Amino acid sequence: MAFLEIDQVRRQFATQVAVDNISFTADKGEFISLLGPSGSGKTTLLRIVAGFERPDAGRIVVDGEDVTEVPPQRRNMGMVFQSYALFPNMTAANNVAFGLRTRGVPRAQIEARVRELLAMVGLDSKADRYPHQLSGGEQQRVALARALAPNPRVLLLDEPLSALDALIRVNLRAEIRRIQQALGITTLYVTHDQEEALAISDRIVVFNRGRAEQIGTPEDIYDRPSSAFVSSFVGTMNRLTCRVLSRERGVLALGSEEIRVEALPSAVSDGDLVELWIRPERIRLAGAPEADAGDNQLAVVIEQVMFLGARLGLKTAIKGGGGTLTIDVARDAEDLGVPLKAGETVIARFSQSIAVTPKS
Amino acid sequence: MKRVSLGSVFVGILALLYFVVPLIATAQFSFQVGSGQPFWAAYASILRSAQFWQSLRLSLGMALAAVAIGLIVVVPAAYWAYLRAPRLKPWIEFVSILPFVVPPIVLVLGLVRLYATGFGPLSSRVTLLMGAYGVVSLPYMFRSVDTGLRSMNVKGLTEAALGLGASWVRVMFRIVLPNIRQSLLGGAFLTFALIMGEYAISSMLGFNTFGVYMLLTGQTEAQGAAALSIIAFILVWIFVAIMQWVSRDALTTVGGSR
Ligand SMILES: Nc1ncnc2c1ncn2[C@@H]1O[C@H](COP(=O)(O)OP(=O)(O)O)[C@@H](O)[C@H]1O
Ligand SMILES: [Mg+2]
Repeated sequence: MAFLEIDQVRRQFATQVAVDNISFTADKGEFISLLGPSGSGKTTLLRIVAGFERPDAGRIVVDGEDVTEVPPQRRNMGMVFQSYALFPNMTAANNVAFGLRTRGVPRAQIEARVRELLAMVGLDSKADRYPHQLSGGEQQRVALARALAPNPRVLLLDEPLSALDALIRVNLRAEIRRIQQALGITTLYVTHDQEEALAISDRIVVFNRGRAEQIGTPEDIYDRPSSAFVSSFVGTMNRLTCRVLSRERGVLALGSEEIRVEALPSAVSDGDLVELWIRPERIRLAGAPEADAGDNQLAVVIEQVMFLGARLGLKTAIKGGGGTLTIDVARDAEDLGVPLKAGETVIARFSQSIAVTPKS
Repeated sequence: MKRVSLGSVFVGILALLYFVVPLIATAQFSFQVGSGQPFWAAYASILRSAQFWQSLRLSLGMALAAVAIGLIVVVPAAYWAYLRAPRLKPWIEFVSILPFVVPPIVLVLGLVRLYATGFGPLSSRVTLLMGAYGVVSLPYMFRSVDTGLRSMNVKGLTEAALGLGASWVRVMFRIVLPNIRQSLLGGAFLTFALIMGEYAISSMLGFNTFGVYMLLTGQTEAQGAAALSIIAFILVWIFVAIMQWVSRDALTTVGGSR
């Protein structure tokens, strides 16, 4: 039974449709990321759930109760903002206590709860600091504790980490996930960072121009993107345009080369254009073509080599005019007999079981 | 850095001289009473005058009323503009500087015409004066409140508080007012200084305010007028200090419920 239900929600600003008929549900304790580029409507939807924005159509249902018309004061949702929005005139402890005081919780209970939450986010020693005396990461921890203090039914976070340094971002996101799981709180997490969304979500809703392009687990989204948009927004995707030579035998023309695939979409026929989707890490390299030919093998010319630490990122051009191919290989992969540097020709191998979509 | 601070020190000294020299000169002049009298004679005679205390009480009351009007009218209006109608801000700003543009005589005649036909207590002369002061202090209050709101994240903090279950009253008293406290004090200071020295409106409405008393004194005794200026200067600072103290107590305690 869904705990949070977003039902056909729509919001328009003048002529701009910010949220276009979005529906999805979240189970109790589920962590759902709203992932999409800037301007795709994520914040607007989150604000509609929080009650700061009214939908033009649709409903928000929490635990069976339709809250669409309930003002934010009475929705009991915890919100964490990108700008932290801590009260500058209050200490960390008083910020955390704010939501308890508005609910008239007795003083002794407030004190205990504030201490508990500050400890949970690792800030028990800084309870008496004012926001301006805390680092960005610490401020966001206080904001998280403040949002969680009144035991909200739903936790809403709007790009909470995007103003922080890379390292703090990675640490804090793991911590948000840990706390969320410990409390079992239903969470909507807005981000434009696909890596972040993949790392911490139970499910992801991919936004594009106000629409939900795909809803699924991180594995679904990454391995089986449902649209070209999702395929290139989440991770890196090589998209090669091919012409179907033989639908029956699964043979495609890529430039002057031939590719074999296991399955083709049912809607295509010979002569149609299709797109081949291959993740860079699904491609292996060889020094020379091999005879066994279970895989596809393409000769590519290395154009650029990027050092990525443990891995190398290669930009290559497919011989025969098939386009460009981005390849991601382990740095200490076995010796190919060919140096990996610009101008060299290597063989790119990839499986025949590969995603093919009709070209739109 | 050193060179920059040298320049700013120079400017600072210049500014200090600009403010302090007239003050010292005035003070010195106020002490130059005739031989045979103690140097504080001018002060003593002012402080003994019943007229001084009367006018002071009137002007203080008016200043407090103007600050109160500012608090009750300007703060909510400016806050609402920030929160809900950012597009209206230029218009509100325009209205707020109108009192600078309209000469006092026009203001007074307008007020008299409006209220003379009158509805009961609203058309009493005191209410008239209070209303006029409320209007002329509007630009000062508005500017100050505007500065305060500009420096705080009005929308974000309001939404954070609402999301945590706060009522609008609570948002106003626990979030908005404490965070614009410094600017409010600035506005209150300007309003006080303005009204303590105001002459045109009160004399036209026939009131002996502090400003009118100062002018009359200046026409009759030169040293007395100088002494009065110094007293007024000190008074304004005292009242600001009191307001600062009171507002800190009222706005920064976060305990309790509501
Ligand atoms: N208050 C508003 N007034 C007018 N347009 C808005 C408003 N809020 C958002 N929009 C528009 O709606 C679209 C979605 O915005 P938003 O939800 O903030 O996207 P995201 O959070 O995904 O970056 C954008 O095109 C934005 O310009
Ligand atoms: Mg956003």
